[in-house]
Amino acid sequence: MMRARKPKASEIWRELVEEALGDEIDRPASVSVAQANKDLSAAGLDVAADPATGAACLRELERQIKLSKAN
Amino acid sequence: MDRLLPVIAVFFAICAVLGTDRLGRPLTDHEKKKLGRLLREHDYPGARLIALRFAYKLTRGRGSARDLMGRVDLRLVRLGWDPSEVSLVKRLCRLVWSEWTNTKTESDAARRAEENFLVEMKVTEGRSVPSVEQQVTQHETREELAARAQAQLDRLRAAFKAAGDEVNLLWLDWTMAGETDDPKTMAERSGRNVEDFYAAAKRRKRAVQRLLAEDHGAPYDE
Repeated sequence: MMRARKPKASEIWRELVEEALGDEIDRPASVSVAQANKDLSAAGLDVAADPATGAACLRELERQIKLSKAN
Repeated sequence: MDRLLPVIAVFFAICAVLGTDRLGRPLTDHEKKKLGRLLREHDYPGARLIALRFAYKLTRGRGSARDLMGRVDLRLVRLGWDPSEVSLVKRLCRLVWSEWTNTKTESDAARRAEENFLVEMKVTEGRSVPSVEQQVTQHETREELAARAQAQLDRLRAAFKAAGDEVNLLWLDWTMAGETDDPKTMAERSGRNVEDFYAAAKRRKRAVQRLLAEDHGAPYDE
């Protein structure tokens, strides 16, 4: 697999650290959607009404994908 | 089962979507549709909610968490995603982490928020290898991060040389040159077995853990 550009030293090192400490980095991914919902609501983020969540976020990402350009 | 493996490999290769950075060009219409379909199939809204919670834990701000997620979305498109490699929720959380540490500012507020998160996580107990959180408690500018990363890669190279690890030296050379980071391509180019590069990846992981442990004066348990 070719990279489109030469990676920075910081990018390579970051990837190596992420590999080495993978389990800890992945820990936040282990919560349920319900728990995330609850925690965000408790933090004052109205998940139901927030345009950054729910189906609206998928539509927004699909819009970004349509506009996507390299670099 | 063995006969099924090539079929499964082809199936996952079809599922993976390369990002625009790897492709070096915009996604085609077909690739855009494929990525959109893949994200819907893997409950992108739910995975993003979990990643947003993580972003909020790091940033301690609703606006900054949303901004962070916006950058994560962009990086997802640029870097792509392979479902056979990692789940979508893990992919997004790793991007949150990576984007957060990339753009970490020098402000005291950001540092305090980060330290609050570290205290909350409390995941370092009983570990001789320093946690991710310990890695970021150091207050560094972008330039300092770049210099430190280069120094760490130099140390890694020295460790590979000392161990006579020729495969990892090849990996480091080709990865740093931006030529390739794919074990199969490296195996073809070097005339070695691809298994050599998979085994090297395990040694590399241990070598990095050892370096991180040394940095924090902690013994490393093999």
